[in-house]
Amino acid sequence: MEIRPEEFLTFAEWFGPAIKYFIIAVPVLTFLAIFGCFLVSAARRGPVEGFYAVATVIATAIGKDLPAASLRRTLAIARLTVKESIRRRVIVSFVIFALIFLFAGWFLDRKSDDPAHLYLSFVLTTTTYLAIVLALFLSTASIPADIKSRTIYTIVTKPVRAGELVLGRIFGFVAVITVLLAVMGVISYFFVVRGMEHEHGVLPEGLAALAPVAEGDASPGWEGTTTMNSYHRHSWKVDDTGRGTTDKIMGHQHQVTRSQDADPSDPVAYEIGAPYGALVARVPIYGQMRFLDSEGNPTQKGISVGKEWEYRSYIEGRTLASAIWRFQGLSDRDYPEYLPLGLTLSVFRTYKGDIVTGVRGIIILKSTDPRNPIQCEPIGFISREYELQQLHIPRKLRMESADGASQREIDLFADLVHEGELDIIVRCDDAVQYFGMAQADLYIEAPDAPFGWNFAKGYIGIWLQMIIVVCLGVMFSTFLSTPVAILGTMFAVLLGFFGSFVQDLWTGKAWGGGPIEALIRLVNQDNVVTPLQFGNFELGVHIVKFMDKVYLTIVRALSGVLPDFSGLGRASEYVAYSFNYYDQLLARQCLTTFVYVTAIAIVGYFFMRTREVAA
Amino acid sequence: MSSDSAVAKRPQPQPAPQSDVVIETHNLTKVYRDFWGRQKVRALKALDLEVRRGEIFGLLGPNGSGKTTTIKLLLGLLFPTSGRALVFGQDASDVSKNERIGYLPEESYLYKFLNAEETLDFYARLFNIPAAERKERVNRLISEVKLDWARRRQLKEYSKGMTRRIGLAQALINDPDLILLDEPTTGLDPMGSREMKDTILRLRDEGKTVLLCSHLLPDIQDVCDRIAILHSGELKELGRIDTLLTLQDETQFRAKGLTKAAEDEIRQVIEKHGGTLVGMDHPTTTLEDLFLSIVRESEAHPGRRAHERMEPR
Repeated sequence: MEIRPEEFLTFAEWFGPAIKYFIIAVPVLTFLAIFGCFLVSAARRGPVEGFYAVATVIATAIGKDLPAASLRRTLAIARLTVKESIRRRVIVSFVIFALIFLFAGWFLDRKSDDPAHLYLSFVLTTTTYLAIVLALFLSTASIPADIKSRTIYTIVTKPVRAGELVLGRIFGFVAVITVLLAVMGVISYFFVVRGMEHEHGVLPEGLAALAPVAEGDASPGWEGTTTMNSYHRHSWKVDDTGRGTTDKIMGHQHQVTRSQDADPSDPVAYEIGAPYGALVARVPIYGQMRFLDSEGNPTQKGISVGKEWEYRSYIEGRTLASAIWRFQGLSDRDYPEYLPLGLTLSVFRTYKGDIVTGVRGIIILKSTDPRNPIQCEPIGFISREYELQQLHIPRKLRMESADGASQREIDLFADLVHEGELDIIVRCDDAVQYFGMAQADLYIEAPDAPFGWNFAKGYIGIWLQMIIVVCLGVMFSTFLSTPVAILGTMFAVLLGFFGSFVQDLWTGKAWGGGPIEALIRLVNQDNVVTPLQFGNFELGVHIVKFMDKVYLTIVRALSGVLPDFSGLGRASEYVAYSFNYYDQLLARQCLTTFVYVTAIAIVGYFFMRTREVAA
Repeated sequence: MSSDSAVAKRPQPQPAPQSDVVIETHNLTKVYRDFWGRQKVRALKALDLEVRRGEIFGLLGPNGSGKTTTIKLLLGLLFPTSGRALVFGQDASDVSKNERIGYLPEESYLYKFLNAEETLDFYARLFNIPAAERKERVNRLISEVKLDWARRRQLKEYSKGMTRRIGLAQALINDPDLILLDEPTTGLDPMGSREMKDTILRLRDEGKTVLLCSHLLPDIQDVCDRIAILHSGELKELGRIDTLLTLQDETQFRAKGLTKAAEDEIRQVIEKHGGTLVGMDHPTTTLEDLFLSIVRESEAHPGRRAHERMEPR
């Protein structure tokens, strides 16, 4: 999973720049919106009357409708919305959801190396899509249906303000979606937990006493293998008291216990416990990353090895090139025995070598104290690609003395960690091989967070997405018919998902050009990197590029205003990859969503207010 | 409102004391336009109207004459192209006037998935009514419109007449001072129609103002104090219904229980201008005749206001 640096920011770090952006964006957008309304109004009634009309609407909004806004009326409409949804058989979607889950078990690959990921991403994706469809169709249907059936006549001739109508609808649908997601969440949770459950027995053939460490000693314990269940088997070891664990297969382990006073050679005496470790919420602590080039000088980035994905950059083996992470806030209370590191390096080989063994690397821990920058002896490791590598750095480390002749023992926390800070240096130890690294590729594993809460956070992420879908749907339906409102909402959601791609297209970072150019390329079966040509017709190319640029500029401006849907969906990704989602990030997203709800409701109010409902 | 006094006062609409005028429109005009802003229909042309407190005012006109448009403009469901509509002295687009208004639309457009009780409860919640009173009012209105037996049935199972009655109850939920009724008796059987008219008269007696529009002439004739006749968006006739229907240039005598001799005597008496006259008045036309003559006149001379008699003394 790619981890985006902006996601590490704490709430406080994010809030400052965000509020600055907000303070600039709100007046600019407000002005643009008012100016746009004036243009439309002036085109229909002439400039003077148009100005008067816009001014009146704004004045009534602030002077009359806002002070008169009533929670009671809003909630009355919200209640109505909930009733309407129930009586229009929203319950059907539960049936669909339940049916999907009843039969999903047949199709999920139980032999997968990481069944937890499979199950989690399945439930989260299913929920997201089902909820999006539901939110889309529910929210865009209500107001147009009221207008079409003219039921709205009986509403707006009561003292209901347009804002209450819009907000009441939003509240109602959000309530429906909330209940729906809560139930889906509970169903999904049990589906996943049950999907991980299985039992093993002990295989009599593999059972054997461990060889003693020194001759003449008693056997330190027993080892064995389990039966094949759920497409896998474990091997296990117990100590002489009869306690132990299995190895980690498919992301989980089992406790192994031998019943008291039983014969150790009797396979029935061993009990393999329930699986654990599959459903976790890992808490990575990330550091600030910097690079040194092959001469040991600070550099912005490592070497590019020509991969298109620029997420990682590379350091060369057997040189001084290093990646250095600085961690903060470390304390020996959190890590009494060892410092657990998680490592997800990528390796770039310039020669194949022995492909089975990984490329060697070293880790050096260095104090950040400028007066005493001591560092430990390099700790060697062998890289394992494409998987999470867990290293335990022991508390007791060795350090070369100044003359290089002798070594002394140092303590990780007492000697190296300075005011909670520590530098961890990674180098590649095989010549002309490269390690590729990004900030998130080395982290300290703090104790796991509770899985249940993390799972809930995944659902809260989906919930925030649905709130925005509902708001957009209601807002569009105040002035568009249901099918057009659905299209509008879908367009906004898609633009929200692909905002960064549009950005890349606009800056030229992504290849292929805008929609017209892309269409021409498709028809001509042109490669995206060949320059666009129409024979010698130079002007045509310019026209196409210009039109594309205009379109992309508009779309880019729109995507800058729209909520970042892919960002809100990140919680699901974190959960599916067993990472703990940041509470602070979730808090940021809740706040952002709240701001969007307010903004969209205001826009909806103005559309509803200026609409002739009987026209 | 006592019967004759109001008319006698005013040959021409004059600014009455503010509190007395419930609805006034000045030069109210509505042009329907299509998506591109091109003019489609001039639905209402420069309407000047005044409705005073405590009267039943009827808007009369053939289909498409602008009756419903007028009501929608008064409610703020439509925005006027030019001119103004004032209700309780406030602009029609001002939502706060709705606190004192009840509206029964042409067909009762209600939520079909709610039952009678839920419907009234929902509409009551849109007003500032305390919970206890709300409950009491919902119950009272349900029994007033005689729907006790069907109070828990969803509106989609209701007959047209029942829907109409719950629609009326909905319009009265806030105990309004002004009630606007769009075609209140359409779709009702004679019994239901009679009940509706009785309700309208009762509301007037309670001091409320009623504005209704209809093309059903007998209904208008039965209940309205004053009427306005609209034809293709223009005001053709305005005045008290009893005076409008009086034929000024004819006189009619009626008597009963007379013997042959007495009849002779009466002839003498009449000749001599003596004795007791049992009945002497101007015969009235029916509203139907008046209406048809106005419509024919209007079609022959579009744009002209109909008769001399329009503001009779």
